[in-house]
Amino acid sequence: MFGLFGKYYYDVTKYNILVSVVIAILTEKLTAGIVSFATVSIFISFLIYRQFKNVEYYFYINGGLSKKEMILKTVLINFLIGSITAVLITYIL
Amino acid sequence: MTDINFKCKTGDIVAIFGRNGSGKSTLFKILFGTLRANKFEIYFDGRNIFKKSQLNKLIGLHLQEVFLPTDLKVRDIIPLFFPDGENQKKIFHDPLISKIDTLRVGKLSLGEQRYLQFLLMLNSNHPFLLLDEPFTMLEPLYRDKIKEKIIENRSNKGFIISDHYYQDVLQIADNYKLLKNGTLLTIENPKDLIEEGYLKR
Repeated sequence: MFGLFGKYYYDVTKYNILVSVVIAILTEKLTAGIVSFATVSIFISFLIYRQFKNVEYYFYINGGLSKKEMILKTVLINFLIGSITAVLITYIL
Repeated sequence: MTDINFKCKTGDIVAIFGRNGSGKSTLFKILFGTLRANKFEIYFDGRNIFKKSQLNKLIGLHLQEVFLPTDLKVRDIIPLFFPDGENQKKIFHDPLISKIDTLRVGKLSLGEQRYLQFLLMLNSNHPFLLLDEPFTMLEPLYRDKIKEKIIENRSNKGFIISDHYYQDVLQIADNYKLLKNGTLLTIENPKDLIEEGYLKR
């Protein structure tokens, strides 16, 4: 079951990374990109996914996943990854 | 749509006809749980199913659009959808699939994509399948294969099919409905489809 979710997570997170990199470049701050990855870019990535791959939700739902569950898991994972990375960069570097 | 009700048992092949815009796809999405209706009840073995998660385990939806991730290879998408090896084998051993299993889904013809999608749904654990336009735009070879597979699998599944390729549907269905003016009419004889204005005289 992780495999099916993993594919969804990979696709959504690709957009998240792209948006976060753009934000980091525009603000010239790495931390802004990382904070964005954990917050606002997650939601932008869902919007982009909905725009280009909305029909693929049927693949996952038919495969036994729920849309709500996939979105919540993705938010949680990316929030944790982004938060931990932001803390590490702020206090270690 | 108002006052629509019908039954589908394991072994049934129910055909739902209707002109463009009559609400067939909408009805399917409501049954599948991805669209909300003002009032909607579904019973499985006499039990009211009200949770979307329960509904999605009982009913699978094959769409007219291809919903498979197009960047994956056929040989990767099958185990992703079926972690269980037995179901994988059934699809990998299909002669029409084995010759394309190294290709990416996005590189397949529309017929190949939709046949693969159909096979994934057919071998899923859902006891009921909604097939929205499974024959549309497919060459006769794939249409015949799909009909053959539906007949083969009717002993353990119930099918609800909607398609404008009505001759293909009539060949396999044993129960006909017509969605017209927001209500679902029961059609006793395919000739009634003419009387009801779905087919030309």
